[in-house]
Amino acid sequence: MTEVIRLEDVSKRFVIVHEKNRSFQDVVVNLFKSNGSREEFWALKNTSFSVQRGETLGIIGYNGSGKSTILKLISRIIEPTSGKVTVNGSVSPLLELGAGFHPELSGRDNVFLNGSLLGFSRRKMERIFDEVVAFSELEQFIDVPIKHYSSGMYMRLAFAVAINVDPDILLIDEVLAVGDEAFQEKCFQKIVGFQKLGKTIVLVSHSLGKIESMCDRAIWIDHGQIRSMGDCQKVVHDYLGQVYAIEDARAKSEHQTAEQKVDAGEPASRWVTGGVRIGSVEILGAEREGKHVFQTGDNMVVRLRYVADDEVATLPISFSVSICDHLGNVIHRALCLHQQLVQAPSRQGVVQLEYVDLPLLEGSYSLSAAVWPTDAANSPFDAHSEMHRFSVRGADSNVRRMESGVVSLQHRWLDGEGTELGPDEAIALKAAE
Amino acid sequence: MLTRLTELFKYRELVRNLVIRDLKVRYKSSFLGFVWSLLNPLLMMLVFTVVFTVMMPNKSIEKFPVFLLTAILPWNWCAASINGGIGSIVGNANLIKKVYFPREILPASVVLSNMVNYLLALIVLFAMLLAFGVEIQPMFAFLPILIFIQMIFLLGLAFFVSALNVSFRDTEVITEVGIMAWFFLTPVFYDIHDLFPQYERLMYILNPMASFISTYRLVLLQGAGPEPYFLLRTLATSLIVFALGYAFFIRQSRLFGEEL
Repeated sequence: MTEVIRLEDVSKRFVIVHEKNRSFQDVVVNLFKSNGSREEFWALKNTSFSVQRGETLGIIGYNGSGKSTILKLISRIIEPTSGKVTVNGSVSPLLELGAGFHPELSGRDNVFLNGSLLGFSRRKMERIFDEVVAFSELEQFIDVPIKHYSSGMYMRLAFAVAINVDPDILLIDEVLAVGDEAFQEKCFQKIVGFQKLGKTIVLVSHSLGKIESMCDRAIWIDHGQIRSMGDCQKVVHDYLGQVYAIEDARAKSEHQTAEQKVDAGEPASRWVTGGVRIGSVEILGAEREGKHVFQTGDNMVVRLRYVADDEVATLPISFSVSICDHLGNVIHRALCLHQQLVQAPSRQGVVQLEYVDLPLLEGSYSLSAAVWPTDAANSPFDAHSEMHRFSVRGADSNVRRMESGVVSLQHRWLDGEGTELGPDEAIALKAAE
Repeated sequence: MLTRLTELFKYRELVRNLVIRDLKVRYKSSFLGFVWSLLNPLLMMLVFTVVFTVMMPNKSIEKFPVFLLTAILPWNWCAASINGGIGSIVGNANLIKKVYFPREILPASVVLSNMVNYLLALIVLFAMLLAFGVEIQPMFAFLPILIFIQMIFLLGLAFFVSALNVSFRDTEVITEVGIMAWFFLTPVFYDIHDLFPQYERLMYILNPMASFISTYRLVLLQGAGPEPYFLLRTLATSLIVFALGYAFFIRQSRLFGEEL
């Protein structure tokens, strides 16, 4: 195996000058003064790793952790402050598509211009030109100045060039969201084809599923330093551990803030018309322990405490609890009608809702709870609207995830005779589609 | 240094494409297109001729229109290279931040596309020379050498101003004034030999464009070969300007990816 990319003890410092001397006037004025306030920012610190030929390396991490800096260093857009970056082979960066396209020129001219920008010869571009055009599906428009292209057409052409120039190394930075579903699938297939040809790929993605399914090895980078490196599943696992720890802490503090708001009677995401007031909403695990991160298939319990006024204390009341996804779409709503739960002397009560085998898939969710009068349920006595959060991480990360979306549905794959397919056959069938 | 050169060779296609792009874009949207680039120096020539021979009688210079044109064309190449060179890095920030390629290609392609312009304009110059009864002389063979040396000089300048403009955006404004001053301090519409001898000497030392224009005139109008010593000195100056400009450019270019 040969190394094609090698980073040796690489650090990259960015200097952020708050009062930047952009003109001669400023320089003269500030000649004897200290040069504004300079802030140093280490985007990458003493990072070393290498990529072998034919390997697909995934890089994960939070925004601003240094992922893109690595790609920029490999593609030589920026130079390291210290350390050494060695790259053997031609690189096609899919960092920003269509950089260098000129609006006045036709698609044809731009293909050649873009190719030469990536350092490929005219003869080579002539050889692959038809392929590029066919891939972009822009046969009819190839001689039209690209200022008349739609943005989708523009991106398709750009992607077609970048991926068809047949580079030794492909750098991908979250650009797979090009065009419609069909085109995306085509791009994806092309990348898979790339891997089969033994090309080297470095992929930066927030989609852990993509990293796990496409990469041979992964790196988790955090604050400019490698936190974990090696087997994808291990790295993703380590990364998720941190993500969920942070998520849990955040959910807890949000929960506390929500509680405080309730105590202060703040109407932010809550309205009270009197009668019955929700005292607290707790999200608990199967053992009734406070919990904010669940796995698909766990049991989840929501416990509501409420207080009733004198005049309603004897009437039946209703409860509702809804779960919304991160976009605010209601995924599920559970109602509980006509309950006579209030205990007369204390005017307080508790109601618990248990979700058995929580069928939600990975993501973060919010929870709303409300108490309603049973008769003419126009407006609730009290409601907590999307005030409580929890998140779900996918089932065990070493099981290949075969479901995506919001909910997990019971399903099975059958062949033509109606015999159930084993997991591997199902995968093969899906890939063949 | 050697790796840099082999890399530049690898990217020769890009130089070619950028030059073609420059020319195409320049001539595509305007009605008269390519004719403009020829018309511009001719109009300039006409104005100067009217001012200096009709309105202000000037008998000392023969064939004044071609005398002017032999200077206007290389001067325009110089001015356009600098004006275009200044913005060549800043104006292509989106490119520089997204793709790696040898950055010197950008200012270089500006100089080269203006050189193509100049070469095309030379056709008009030759037509004018013939119209004014100047014969094509064997010494015209010096022309490619002169053009080559001027190219080296202009590359050096373009490298310098394009890199300087990244850290000091005022370069653009200052150069505007500078070019105008330079135009008057260059013997375009007058003969350098008409100056007081000490100024003539000073101008040759300080202003390489004066040397170029005098040599162009010597070759084209008088059919004489330039003095070898003079030509070598001009070459040396150009190489120094090139080396300094390029060195400055390379030093600064490391920061282009983040400064822009």
